[in-house]
Amino acid sequence: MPRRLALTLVAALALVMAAACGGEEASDEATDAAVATTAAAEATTTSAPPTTADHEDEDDDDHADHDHEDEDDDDHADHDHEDMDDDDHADHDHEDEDDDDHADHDHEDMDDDDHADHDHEDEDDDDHADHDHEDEDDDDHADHDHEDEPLAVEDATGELVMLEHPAVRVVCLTGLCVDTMFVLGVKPVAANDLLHRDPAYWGPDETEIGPVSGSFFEPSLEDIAVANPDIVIGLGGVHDGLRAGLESIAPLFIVNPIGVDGMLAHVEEIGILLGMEHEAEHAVEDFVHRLEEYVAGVTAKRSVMVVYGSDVNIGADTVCTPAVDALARAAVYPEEFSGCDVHQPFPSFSVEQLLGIDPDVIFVQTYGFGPTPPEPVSEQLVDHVIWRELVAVQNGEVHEVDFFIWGTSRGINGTNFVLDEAMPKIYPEVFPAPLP
Amino acid sequence: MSTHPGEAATPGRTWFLVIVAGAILVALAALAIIHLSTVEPRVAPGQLPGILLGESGDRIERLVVRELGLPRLILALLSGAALGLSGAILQVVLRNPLASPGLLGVSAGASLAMAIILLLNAPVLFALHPVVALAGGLGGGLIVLVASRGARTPVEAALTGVAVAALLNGIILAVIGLAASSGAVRIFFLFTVGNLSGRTWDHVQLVWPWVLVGVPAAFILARGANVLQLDEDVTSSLGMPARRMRGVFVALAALLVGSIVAVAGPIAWVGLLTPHIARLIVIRPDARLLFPVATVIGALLLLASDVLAKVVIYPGEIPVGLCTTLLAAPMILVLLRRKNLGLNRS
Amino acid sequence: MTSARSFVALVVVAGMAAVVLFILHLGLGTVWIPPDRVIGALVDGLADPTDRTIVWDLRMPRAILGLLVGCMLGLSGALLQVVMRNRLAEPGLTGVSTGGILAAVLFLGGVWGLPQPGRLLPFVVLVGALAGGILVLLVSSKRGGIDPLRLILTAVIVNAILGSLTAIVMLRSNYALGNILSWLIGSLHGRVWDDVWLALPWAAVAIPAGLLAARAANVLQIDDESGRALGLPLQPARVALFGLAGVLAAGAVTVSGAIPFVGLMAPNAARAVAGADARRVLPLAAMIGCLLLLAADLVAQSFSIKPPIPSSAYRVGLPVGAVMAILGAPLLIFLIRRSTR
Repeated sequence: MPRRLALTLVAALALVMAAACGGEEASDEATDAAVATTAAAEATTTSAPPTTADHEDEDDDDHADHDHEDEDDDDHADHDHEDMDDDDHADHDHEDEDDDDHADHDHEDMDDDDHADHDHEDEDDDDHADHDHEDEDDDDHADHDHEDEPLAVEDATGELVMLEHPAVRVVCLTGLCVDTMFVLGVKPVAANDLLHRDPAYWGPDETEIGPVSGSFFEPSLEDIAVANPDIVIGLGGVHDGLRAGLESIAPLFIVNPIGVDGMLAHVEEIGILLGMEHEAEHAVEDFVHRLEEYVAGVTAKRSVMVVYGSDVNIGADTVCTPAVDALARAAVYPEEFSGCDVHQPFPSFSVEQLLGIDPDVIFVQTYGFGPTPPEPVSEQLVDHVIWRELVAVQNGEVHEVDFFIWGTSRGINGTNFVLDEAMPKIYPEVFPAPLP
Repeated sequence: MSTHPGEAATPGRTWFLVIVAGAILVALAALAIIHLSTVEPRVAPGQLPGILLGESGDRIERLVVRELGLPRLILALLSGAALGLSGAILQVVLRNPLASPGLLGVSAGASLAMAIILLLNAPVLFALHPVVALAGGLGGGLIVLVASRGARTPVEAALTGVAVAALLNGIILAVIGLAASSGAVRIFFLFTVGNLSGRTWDHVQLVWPWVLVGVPAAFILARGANVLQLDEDVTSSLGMPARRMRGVFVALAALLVGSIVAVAGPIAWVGLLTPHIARLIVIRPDARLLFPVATVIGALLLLASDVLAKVVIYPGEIPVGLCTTLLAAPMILVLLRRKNLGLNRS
Repeated sequence: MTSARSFVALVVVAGMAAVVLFILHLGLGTVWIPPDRVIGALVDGLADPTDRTIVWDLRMPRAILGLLVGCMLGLSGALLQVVMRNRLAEPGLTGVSTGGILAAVLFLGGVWGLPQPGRLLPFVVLVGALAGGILVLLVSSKRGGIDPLRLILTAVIVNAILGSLTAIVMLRSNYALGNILSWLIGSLHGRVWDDVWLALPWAAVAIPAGLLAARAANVLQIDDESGRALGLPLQPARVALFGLAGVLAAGAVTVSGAIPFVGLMAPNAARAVAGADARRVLPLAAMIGCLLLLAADLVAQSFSIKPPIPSSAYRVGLPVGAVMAILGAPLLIFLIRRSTR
């Protein structure tokens, strides 16, 4: 209906223009038409926004308080990195346990249809044995029966994203999404970069995941439409503006996880959206366990810093980045970069600041997008007078790392990759090799 | 053009010049001290002599002041001097009070070259980046000079530069579209606006030979520039190869700017504003006086901008190019209204 | 001066060209859909849903916005040229676009702590646009009239100042840097029916009003003496037309960002073919603006290249603003040269 209205209005405009061109005798008609157009336009304006209005009410539903309580800003702001397994995670475990059967049911259905190559199958079975469903305490979770009830999860922009059924076809506009899909064992139907062909993911032979052309900031909506997704996952601060454009295609779920907690909450959110809470929960537990193991092995913490860029234009990662947050729990991360302002994830930074910090170990991501690999930053800086002075440089503890994974994937797999690469380099005696 | 180059100065003017020179020196010294003490971590101004000359201060303080603060200070001074002088040269020999690196397409050309290198990681040796920026800048300048051939008024030529810059910016955006990460875009953006943060003696070494050759050369050749200010007929009747002379000066200006662009990025508006301030002081259109004064004023202007860049949003830092715009562009507007920038001459 | 008949012919030709471009815009994009399926998607509600999504929900609103924004920018430029008596005036070269964008960036960056923009945004942009334009006018105004090129020079400098402020806001909230960059150059990517509804009221009011102002514009084009003799209150008329141009530009900038040069090219082309009469120039400028923007956005929507870079995996395209900048800059140079002849 509104479309027809639009066409009528455009036609009316064309008429007005023609009338104005025609000369003065037509001007009366023109004014009439103009008045009519205005009235019609106002009518549309007032009738337009019913969709957003409803969302407020939905917030109070059970879905919302599923597990996002702990995602509040306060929690992140004064988060203490030392004690890692605080109550947050414990809570999740309890609350969600009783969903397991539902999750598994759905999940097995999906496997039949789309994910023949699903690798979590065995682990699922194990879990059935492990979990005792004693605490089926509250009826709130009844609505996790996805067969009937729509799903609703609030995204990073506060928008409540609703799905009729668990999503099967996912389009990824950010490496984080690809990472989480990989962790859950689901291939996205399309992605806008090639992270999925990295050896740490599905590998270079992967061809089933379709392309999304266009720039990172302006991915082609037509390509996304052709992929026929159930949900599109984009990055906060970059893809927020696409929501309206995607409305006719699939709901947009914006992610922007802060720190390890944000990342874990994010994986659980995606788990809900895909009807795979159980797998998500499992992945989260695995990760938490692994991180704990790393942290527990460390006796004397050393100081670490992660920088990126090229030449004099370098930046420092902060604990906003989940991988760095994970590192910061197993090592000392400079105080300057332990604050986390969502609006300033990459603070301005100059080489001279490094001197005051003088970390024991420095990890460097060198940016480069061209056909040839760039000259590593650590080599670009070899003769830099401040760089030379750093303890890490003098002791040969500067490590070039893969910027694709360190820089673009902020998920569980990427963070594990970072830990496995970093921990043996920071603590070679404790971890001669990465944990299994 | 009521007065003639080389006319004797009155005693009153001499005193005025002495006072102005004194004021400039005091300002330079004060700004230099503030600039040096606003390193990271901050150092008290009183400690500076000890840190610079003796052994006082801890290792970090000495390093930051000597190896970062000092080269950045010198780089700010050299850049300002080179930009101011090249603006003065261009304005005099092109007889266009709006001539400046920014309005001649040099900045946009250099930015485009750097965009291609930084964002696409073109296979160019890191050590050659400055050369590429310089080549891009000269390319942009050449396009503008060709496009504005036969321009009748200074404004016309300047706006041609604006149009070329718009064209190049369109291409730069196309290149940015290819980059896959916000981080790269941010880093490139810091370059395009001009930035002195983190520069060291290495960068100073890249710049000082050019400035050391360019500045005295310009001073020596200033008499020739005076001749070029006269009408074309007069010049040719004096038997001077005007065209060749003009070419030499433009090359000199490009050389001065190019090295700066390569190290600090295209810092805007200093080259345009400085000669006009210098003219307020010098009054007579004598290049022999105008060039040195513009050199000093340029240094002062850029130093002041860089101090602002360091302190305004401390502990963050603004790229100095944004500061020069916010500082110099309004002054240009005021001068454009008040003094007309000498545009009515032609 | 062309005759009335040939003017009508011109309008018809331009209209037909617009229709052709509109159809091409529906037919071409990153995804190739054969013409018969495009027609099917248009007329048959039961056609392949993906086709229908692409044609109806993506290409159609974008094409309509191309028309509206092109018209608004073309007309805005034409009115500014009349008011400022300056062939080089256009929203982007008079501080109007930059002012609007600074206001929008401040607004969106949350400096004023306001929630999501929605329908308030165009008004914010309008305030900024008028402020930017007025600033340029005030700074460049002089007793004895404003030199056309001088005005543009002033605007360039004012643009630089406003642009620097925008950049500082951007750097402080750098997480949207890429988006704001594409805003600064202008783009129609991802614009859908919502944006049509946002722009339509503004277009529906301002375009007819602008066209109906042709008589006043004609009077303002002649010198003040004769204008006064014709009984038009000159100053109020000028202010009204300037406000109208601001409304048009604000409506366009809100949905598309600051697409450059449309407002410059369209009126000049119109004047070149139809003479000086505003009753002809204004509608023609609006139509040519449509044509230009539709054509440029067609390039932006359907033309893309595969960069020779492994990490940037797939084909990439240009925002429409960059296409316009590359097309428009040479014309600006030409006009500058001609303006002093």
